[in-house]
Amino acid sequence: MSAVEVASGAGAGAAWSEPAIAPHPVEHRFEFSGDAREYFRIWIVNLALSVVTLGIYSAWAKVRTNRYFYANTWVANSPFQYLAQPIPILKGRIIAVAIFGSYVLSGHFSAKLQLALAAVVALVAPWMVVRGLRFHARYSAWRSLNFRFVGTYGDAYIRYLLMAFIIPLTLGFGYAYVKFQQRQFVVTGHRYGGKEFKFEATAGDFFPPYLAAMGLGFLWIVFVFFVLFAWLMSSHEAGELPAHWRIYSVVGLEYLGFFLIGIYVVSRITNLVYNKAELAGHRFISTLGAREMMWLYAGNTLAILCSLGMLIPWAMIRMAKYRAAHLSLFVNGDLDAFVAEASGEEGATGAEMDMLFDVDLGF
Amino acid sequence: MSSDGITSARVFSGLYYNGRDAKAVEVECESDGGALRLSGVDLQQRIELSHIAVTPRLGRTQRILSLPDGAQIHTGDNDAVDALFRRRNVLETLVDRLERHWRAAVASVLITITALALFFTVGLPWLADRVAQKIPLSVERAMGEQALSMLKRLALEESTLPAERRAALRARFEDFARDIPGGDEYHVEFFHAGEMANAFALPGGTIVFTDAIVQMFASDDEFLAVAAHEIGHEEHRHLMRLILRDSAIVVIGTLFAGDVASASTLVVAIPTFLLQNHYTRAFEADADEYAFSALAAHGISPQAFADVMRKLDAKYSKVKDSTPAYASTHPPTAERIQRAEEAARRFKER
Repeated sequence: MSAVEVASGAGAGAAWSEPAIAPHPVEHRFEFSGDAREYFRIWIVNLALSVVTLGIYSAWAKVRTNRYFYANTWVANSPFQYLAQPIPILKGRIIAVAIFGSYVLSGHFSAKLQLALAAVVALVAPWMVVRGLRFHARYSAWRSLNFRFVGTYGDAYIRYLLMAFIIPLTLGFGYAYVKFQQRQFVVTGHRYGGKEFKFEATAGDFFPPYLAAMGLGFLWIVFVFFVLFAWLMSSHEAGELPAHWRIYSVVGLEYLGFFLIGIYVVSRITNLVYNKAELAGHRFISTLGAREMMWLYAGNTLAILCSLGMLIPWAMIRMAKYRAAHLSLFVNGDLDAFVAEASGEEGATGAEMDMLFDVDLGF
Repeated sequence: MSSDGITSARVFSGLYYNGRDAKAVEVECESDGGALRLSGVDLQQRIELSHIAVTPRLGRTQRILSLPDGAQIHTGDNDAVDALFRRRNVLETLVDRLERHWRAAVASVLITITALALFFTVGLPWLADRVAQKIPLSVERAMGEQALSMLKRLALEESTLPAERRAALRARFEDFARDIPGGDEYHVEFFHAGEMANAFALPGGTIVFTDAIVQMFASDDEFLAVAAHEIGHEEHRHLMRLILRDSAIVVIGTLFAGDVASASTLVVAIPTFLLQNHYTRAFEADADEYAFSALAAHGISPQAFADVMRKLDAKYSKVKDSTPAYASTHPPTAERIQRAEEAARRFKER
């Protein structure tokens, strides 16, 4: 979890009242004030404690990590706050690990059992999505007021389960539409300070980036398989397979292409979602650059591999800085008008499960 | 800061939120006996310290003081807050102290590496092996049947070996396995799988030979050498232990990846692969050792094993380092042949 999610909470939650006069909107840039050296110490101490306690401390580590990233993400001179407590996260983690562990193990004993478990997980996935969003919103705050997520389970089941069937029925071309429905659910379900988030994007906005990604992906497959494999095989004597490392590097190249296309989609869609979100007059401008993000990810991966993981905190800080630097809040009127709403506590099990099962929350 | 144990009269400033809206009011905070005195525009309050909850210190981030009426004070003056609220959040206060010192960070690096190494080389295998011993035979058989039916669909076809040859090998195998405790659990199956020369043990005691490997055997001793190696895997419960270890690595890796994913995703796959490979190699060596002594106990020289390995090596080294098959997931073949020949020498001198 990083400032990205903090910002996504904010993006989903910055509602605003009608401006009495229409003044020029005031731009407030997001800023990330974390420091790689400081965070390295926090990261490694918490990692060591997590390892030594066989993972029990990891709940505390998670809270400290999230608090660090939230509290160092600023907008309009105020940091975000992460309010979750370790004990509920620990409980959620234990349940999630038990379920995920039995899912992984079951595949070895009985394919039918694993299939049944996968079906159960798919059936509860929309529930996990809602629980996760509610948990993250409830324990994210800005200027002392927490966010809320009010999306319903029914809506989640329609958009995350039923609509998934559109994808195969349209040979994949309906994917953008389904993604649009899911993002809309996420954004409009958020509340901050008694205001609703609005989402002005249309399904049509989602098609260009996804269609471009699909087209690029297809061309890449054709290129790698036909051109490169032809070259690979022709450089060898008949009847013999090419050397292992050559096959691996071609497969690696294939994945690298998909990885870069994935980053392109993430940056485009993130921009789209922020730029079309509104909180009663306040708006966001996100200007992530696909090419810059690719270099950032590539640099991070290389640095982490070369440093045997020691530069993970540096990479996390770098990414949070970049994301924050490319996000602005445009305030129309007054930011003090948000008011508190009553909200109860939320359990962490759904949130921990969707982390392990990697349910796509759309951010 | 005074160190006399009595709260010092230190003043710090912060932002006051009333808990009802997002409006911030600048306040000065001062300790006053056991209480906190707030003063700001239109704001004068005195609150007992024991009624105030404080977030633990974390880097240079702001502290949040939660007042009983739902109001909050946000301040960056960490030292003043620490001086005022002693013995709060004992655990995280200690963690914070460690987080601020480079010496603790360096120690944490060493502790993490040592603990991870110990966990993955000793702790996790130990735990997985204990659990593997507890898994009932019926579960193992179910696993074996499931794996076999999947393989039949994907890669294995009806054997093309003459029925008499299969029956003869089966008889030799049963003879061989009879002396092993629980040996009647073992039986052999033959399948056609193209050119692939391979043999493997399934959980529950089924040992599968492909036609291609059977055709490579110059003698029944070579057949028994491979069979003994596979029995070794099953006697040591290698597959079950491997599955438990691998599953634990996957779960731990996924947990860890959740924390790293924002920086880079590829990073977890590599150590996972290396660990799994490491376990496999150790198991192969164990199965070899088992085979050497089982063969010797039946009056067969482990030389038979060396001979088979040499043939497999020759077959697969022609296809330069490709086609992962019987020989390639195992420890370097030369080393295994050498060990088999040492065992053969010991067998002769006996």
